Amino acid sequence: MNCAYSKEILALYVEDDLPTSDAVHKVESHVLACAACLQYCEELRKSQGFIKSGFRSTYQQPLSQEILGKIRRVVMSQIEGIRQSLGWAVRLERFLILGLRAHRYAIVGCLGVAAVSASFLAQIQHSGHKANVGAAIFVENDNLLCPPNYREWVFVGCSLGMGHTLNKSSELYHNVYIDPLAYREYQRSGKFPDGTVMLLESMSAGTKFASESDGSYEEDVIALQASVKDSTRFDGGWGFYDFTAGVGKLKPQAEPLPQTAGCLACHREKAATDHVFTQFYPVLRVSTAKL
Amino acid sequence: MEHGHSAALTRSALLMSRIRDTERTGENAEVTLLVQRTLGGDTAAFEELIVRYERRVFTLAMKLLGSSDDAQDAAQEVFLRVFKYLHRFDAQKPIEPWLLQVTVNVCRNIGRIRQRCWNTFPVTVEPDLAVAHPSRDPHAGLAEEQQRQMLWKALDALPQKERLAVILRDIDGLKTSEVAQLLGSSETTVRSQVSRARVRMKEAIEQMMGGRL
Repeated sequence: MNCAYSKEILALYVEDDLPTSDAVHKVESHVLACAACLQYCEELRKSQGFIKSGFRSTYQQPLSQEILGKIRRVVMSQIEGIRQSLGWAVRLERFLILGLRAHRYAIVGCLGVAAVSASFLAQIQHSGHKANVGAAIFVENDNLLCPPNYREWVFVGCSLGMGHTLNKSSELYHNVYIDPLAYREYQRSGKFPDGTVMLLESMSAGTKFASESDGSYEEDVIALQASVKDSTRFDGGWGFYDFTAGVGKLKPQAEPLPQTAGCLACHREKAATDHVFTQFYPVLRVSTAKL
Repeated sequence: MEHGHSAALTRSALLMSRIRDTERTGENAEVTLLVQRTLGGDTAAFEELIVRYERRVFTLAMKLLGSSDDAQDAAQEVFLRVFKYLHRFDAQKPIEPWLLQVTVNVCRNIGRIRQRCWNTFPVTVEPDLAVAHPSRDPHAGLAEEQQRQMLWKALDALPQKERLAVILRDIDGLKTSEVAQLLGSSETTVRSQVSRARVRMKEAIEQMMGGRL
């Protein structure tokens, strides 16, 4: 085509697809004055006619009843299975949608939502806005539940024989873990977020004497203590807990240790980063080295 | 005299329009009842829904997928999905647009899974799709078959979105607004896709026919 007019606009024009009558008039006045566009429109009409007639001959023939019957049979044979295997999400969705379409159910639904909301708000108020954050799970009186899977957390380091306020024995190994969410945030920002839980697991040192492999190894759990960062609960931002219930035994939950235990003061004065002894834990030193 | 004739035509058109509206309302009411019965556990009602719409669904799937086998699979999947999610259908609206939307989605998925429908349209229609016409001229049949093959080839060369839009608009005959609704895009986008597809189809067909149409 010798004219630079848009072929696409002409392709809309020949099928009466232009959006406004103004557009139609504009294109029409050009086409009537331009031999190249007039011819192009004719060609387009032919090709559109060719396309439509080609498909019409296929799809206007009557469909085989055999195929339609087969589709129906297959569907009908499977719908009972579908009905029985509907997941809870679809059942709930169906219940809500169908229920809310009926007025009486809508009223019941609204009342239900209102009741749940009120209960939720009451719980928030009752707890004094001390919602659980991070890995720390508190129960009444700020007691902390012992994390059952802490050995799957990030292991930040181990020290041997270093004294600790609550475990005077110098023969203990101290394994230190941090919850993964807090670790990732610390890696990202260099700060411990609210909800950070760190666990200090004290293990007795076993010894083995053999000519080719003398040495010491971790034997029994002697103590398990936690430090938790939560600025809404604790003065100074950190709380300390002791889950120890005897050698090899742990309590399912622990009450916060009093300030007189000296944990907070010691961690505040001697720890390198926000009450955490990052200077002793290589993993945490590496984490912040790149920041 | 002419004024009287024109007024009579207007009255007649109005009457036809009312009759069509009444029929549509009646059909919607019947479909609503069938939907309610199906949701209440009546499988015979669902079978009646299938009978009403199986041709429409199968034909559209056939146009989109180009293969009778794939279209059968698609139609089955459409009705199974419709049965599972029938509660989402708003009975205040006509059911056909919703069914067609499900059909388009299912055909897209089948295309993705089998990685063939949009890229390699089969160029022939299986003999069992249509009832045989023994009285037809075999030469005419051959010409039609060649025409069909050429068209599939031209469609095959289009980008996926243009192909889908032009099939729905030019081959299935839906309005631009209906195509836009089915594809979840704007009318402007559909117009743009369809117009580009028409130009490309024209050029492809002319090339295949040696420059003569």
